[in-house]
Amino acid sequence: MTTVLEVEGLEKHYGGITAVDGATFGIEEGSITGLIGPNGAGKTTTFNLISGFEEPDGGTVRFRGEDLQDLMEPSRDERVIWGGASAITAGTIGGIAGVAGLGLGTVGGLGTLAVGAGLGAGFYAGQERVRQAREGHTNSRPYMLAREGLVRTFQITRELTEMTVLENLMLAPQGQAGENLANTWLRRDLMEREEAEVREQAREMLELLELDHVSDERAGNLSGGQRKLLELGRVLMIEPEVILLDEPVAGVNPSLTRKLMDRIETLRDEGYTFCIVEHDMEVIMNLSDTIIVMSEGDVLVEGEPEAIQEDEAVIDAYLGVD
Amino acid sequence: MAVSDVVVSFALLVAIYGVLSLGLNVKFGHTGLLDFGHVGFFLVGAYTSALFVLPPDDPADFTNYVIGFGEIPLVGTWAFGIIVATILTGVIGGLVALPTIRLREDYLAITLLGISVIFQRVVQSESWLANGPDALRGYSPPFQGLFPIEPGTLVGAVAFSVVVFVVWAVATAALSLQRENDSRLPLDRIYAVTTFGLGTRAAGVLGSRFAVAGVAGLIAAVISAALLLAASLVLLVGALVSVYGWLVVLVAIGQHYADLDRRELALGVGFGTGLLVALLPLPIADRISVSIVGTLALLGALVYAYYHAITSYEWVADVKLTVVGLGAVWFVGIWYVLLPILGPLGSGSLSGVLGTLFRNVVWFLQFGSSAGIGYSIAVIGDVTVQLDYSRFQLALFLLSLGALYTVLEAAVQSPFGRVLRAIRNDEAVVKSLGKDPFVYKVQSMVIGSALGGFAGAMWAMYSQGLTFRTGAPETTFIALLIVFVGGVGNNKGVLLGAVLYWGFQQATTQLAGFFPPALRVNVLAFRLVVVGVLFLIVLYYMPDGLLGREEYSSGVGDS
Ligand SMILES: Nc1ncnc2c1ncn2[C@@H]1O[C@H](COP(=O)(O)OP(=O)(O)OP(=O)(O)O)[C@@H](O)[C@H]1O
Ligand SMILES: [Mg+2]
Repeated sequence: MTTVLEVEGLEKHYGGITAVDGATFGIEEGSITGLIGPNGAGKTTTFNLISGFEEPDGGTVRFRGEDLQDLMEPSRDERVIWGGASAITAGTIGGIAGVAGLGLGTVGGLGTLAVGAGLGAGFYAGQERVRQAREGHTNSRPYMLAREGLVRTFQITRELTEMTVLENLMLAPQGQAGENLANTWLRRDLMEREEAEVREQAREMLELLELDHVSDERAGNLSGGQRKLLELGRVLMIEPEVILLDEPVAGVNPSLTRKLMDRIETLRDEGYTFCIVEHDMEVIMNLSDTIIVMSEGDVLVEGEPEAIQEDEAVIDAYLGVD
Repeated sequence: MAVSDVVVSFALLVAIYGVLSLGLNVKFGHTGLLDFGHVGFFLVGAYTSALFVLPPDDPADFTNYVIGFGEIPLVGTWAFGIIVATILTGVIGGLVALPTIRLREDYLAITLLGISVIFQRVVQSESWLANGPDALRGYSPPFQGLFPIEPGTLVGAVAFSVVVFVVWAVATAALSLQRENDSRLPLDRIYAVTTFGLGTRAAGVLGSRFAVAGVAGLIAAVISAALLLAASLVLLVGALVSVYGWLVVLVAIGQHYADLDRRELALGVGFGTGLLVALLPLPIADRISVSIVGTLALLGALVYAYYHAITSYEWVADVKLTVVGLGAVWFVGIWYVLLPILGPLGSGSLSGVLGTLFRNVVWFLQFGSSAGIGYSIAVIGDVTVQLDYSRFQLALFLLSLGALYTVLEAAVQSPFGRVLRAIRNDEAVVKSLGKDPFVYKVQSMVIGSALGGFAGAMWAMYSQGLTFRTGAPETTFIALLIVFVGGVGNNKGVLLGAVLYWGFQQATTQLAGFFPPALRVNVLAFRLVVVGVLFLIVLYYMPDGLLGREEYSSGVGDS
């Protein structure tokens, strides 16, 4: 088995508080890893760092052998926008300077405009080079990681409260043709065909999560447990490779919890990789192949569930004695 | 001015502000980007298009401006000017977005407001750019030279038929929608006639009812052009088109209020009549103090009665908006049909009554100006008719509004629109799902600003003269009011909001006519206060606007 996610010496400080303090661990492909530890141990912060929502103060994370920071460099769309804007701005200045300042005619003005535009685009490209070459520069573009197949859920659920439950799910799939503005006008047929598929997929997911009866309800009207389910369904709709789940079954009723655990195991057998933060010991011990225990921002121990339950240090710091 | 002319100028303003507010709705309603500087794009669009059609600047006179492509063929036309204005404002919107878009909502709003004020200041103080603080004039709206049309000429016939086309197509499309849920009237047969037999069968071949409506409009346009060229039948065609328009409007109103029971109807009519009665002191009382106090007292009584009714009777509360809507329809009907004939009725002239009625019914044509074709009609007497330029402009504006609305709806009723609405809800979710909010926000700013620029070009045509006041911040807030009243993020609601806002403006302008000239200015200024108060009431009682947020069938048809 290969290690799909390697975390090394990860650090994050908030003012005086050290939330993550040199955590080092690895996550095996096609496994379920449990991440446990006392409140405030730094589990959610670790997730934020791995999923790109926050920038680390030290350490590295590798996803399939590639540094996260490299994966999070600006997308092509973003580069086009900034480069284009620099070219337009500098070109306009060049053109005006040519005509009004240097007294050139239309042709000369077009010349200075082109020179200005070239300089503008060149300046943008140059400063991007310099920025990327700087030692230890960080990025925060979580969407780039999601596109690569590394997704997360939020511990405090975040749903699109004003949109329907169905729409919440239909937003998730990657690379929908209709997300491109030009396609909404020119490729309506393609868009509608895809949309029908996505809707079907979303309905299946709702059925699995037992949310089908509220599919047209606004997500803001859901109960706490239903929100957790929606959160889970949304990332599953992406069909990612590695899924970070932050307390996915907190507040979900026991029978549905069991069903979701079965589902997660099936997905694991199909090759998905999970890393799950969970305080429910029965769930996490039954589900996980490996357990990582965090305490005060660092990894305390790592091992199989049986060994962890016996571990003195873990019992002291987290599990307590019955 | 005939009442129909008032309605036409009202519709022109609705079209301009409709486009402007649709633009703001993309930014604010759909994406959540609060742009207090939306008017900046309106200003740039207006000036850009005007500068393109103006002739080259004459250094000898007192005006100064740049560009002036008016004499270059193609480049100096309105069509080209509008396209440039739209693209330019779109690009500027995108550029402005880049440094500001990461700001939180309120900071973003203030920054954009600042940028729009800079635009306005540049226009105002750079006298070489667009005549500085003085008005920019000297251009005329497109095709105005063709009017009043010459019936015997080809150009005149074509100009006339363009207007016929738009009115006929719009009315036919509306009729085809009404036909489906009304079995009491012989709408099917009327539809078959007005589509020239294309009717329902052609819908399959042509694709949709809108295509059928377009083809029917085309046929009607060709026929009327022929009638005009061969026989100068201006009045006949005008009357036919007018009657068709009325039919569709009346059926639409009838259908909208089809399920009313008798007491709701009575309440609505009572409300409208009450409004009329409340305004009666204005024309009747001689002393201005008496008329104002009387009107205000009666208005207060009406509002109190309404409030009392909706708070004490449950069935009234259920239909509270219906009552107001019905009352407004009743009131407008009386204003349009009954009030103009009161004068001739008083002097007992039957031909005067019929003549006024006739002029207002045949809204498609303008009567009584010096130029035009003379007709002699039984009882009514002699009339001169012509197709006024304002009708033609109305056709152009409605066509633009309809086209832009359709294009915009296609863009937001899609996964693209879904991402925009998701950004308004929670950006972090959008990011966690692999979509870059930045890219979408920039696109939203580009589309919204381009619509603002287009509306600016329409304004340049309508007003035929621009000053830096075109970019006054009030305009943004009017657009925002329109968005809020109709329904944030609801394009149909935005159109409704534009109708309501300009309806209010027109009504108060008419009312101000009853005041002595010295007071009139104060009355017109005071209505800003009234608008503000109404805005607060709407926000308080209906935070989602009259139509509310749109329920999206998650992109495309749910089937
Ligand atoms: N944005 C922030 N600003 C300041 N301090 C923070 C921030 N986020 C987390 N912390 C601190 O970092 C520490 C780790 O928090 P974290 O949320 O990672 O804990 P956790 O292990 O997920 O706990 P729990 O099991 O309760 O969810 C806490 O002491 C917390 O107060
Ligand atoms: Mg946590």
